[in-house]
Amino acid sequence: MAGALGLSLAGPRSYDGVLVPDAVMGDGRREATAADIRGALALYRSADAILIALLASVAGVIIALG
Amino acid sequence: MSVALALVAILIELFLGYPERLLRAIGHPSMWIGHLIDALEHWLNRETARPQARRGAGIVTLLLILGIVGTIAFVLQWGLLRLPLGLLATGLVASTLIAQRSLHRHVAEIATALEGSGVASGRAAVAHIVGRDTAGLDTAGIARAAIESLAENFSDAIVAPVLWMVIGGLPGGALYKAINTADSMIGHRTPRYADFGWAAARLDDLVNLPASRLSALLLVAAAALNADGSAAAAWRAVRRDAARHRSPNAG
Repeated sequence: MAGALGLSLAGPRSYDGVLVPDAVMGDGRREATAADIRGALALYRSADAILIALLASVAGVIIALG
Repeated sequence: MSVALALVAILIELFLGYPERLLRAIGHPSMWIGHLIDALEHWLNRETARPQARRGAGIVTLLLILGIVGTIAFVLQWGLLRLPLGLLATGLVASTLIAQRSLHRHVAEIATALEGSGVASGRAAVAHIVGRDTAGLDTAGIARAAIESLAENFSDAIVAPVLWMVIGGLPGGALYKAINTADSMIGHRTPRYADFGWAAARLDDLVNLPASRLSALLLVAAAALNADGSAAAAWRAVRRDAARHRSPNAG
């Protein structure tokens, strides 16, 4: 997700007041915006559509063979 | 293999979702699983017990949850598949284990909040879907949290339940949901849960291995549809960074 959007994501985060270290994913912008959220949602819809197409293809093949 | 069931379930969820009225009337299957985990945790997690004993109690709790959820899902599927239009009925039940619509809605609400009313309402919206502290987040921090949560939940709330449904039908999807819900409730590294939740956290990592990798491939393929070179960047980031993240399934 980070690479596709040209962002860098993850990195250190705070949980219940405790800072938890973590590596950064991707090497793009750190300054994400609402437009990046819209871009991520578009990517999500495409990936979901590919998943459904994949399931339909496998189901089709199984029915054709069965 | 239950590819047809998984396909029916994901399509029903895509077009219908889980009705708001049903949610208010009877709750949601993952809430019922949550109540079960909560009850067992209060009963079996003794703060005074030795770490090894607490780890053992956590394993027993997990096995009880899986036994109960698995049995109910198995009997339900067995009965429903004997009805006319049984595949449709089973798919309708299985569709409750997938969350394409609610995930999209929750993340879109964060973008809308940031676009319209600013940082404070963005924080409130993002706090619904992430576990981290949101009080100190700026716009970029809120947007990153939203996108990270979307990527993680694409795997946990869609690809993983669908994949386990393909492998094990309704029981497969329900058992996955039980493990993932248990991890989100007791899989924390806090004093209360570090030992008791150990088994749930390890099993959740394990059952998410295949789906998280398939999710990454699907997102790279989706980026390829954009045809702007972002797919290559996505693939580079997955190859280089995934192993560095705290979770074996992130990236």
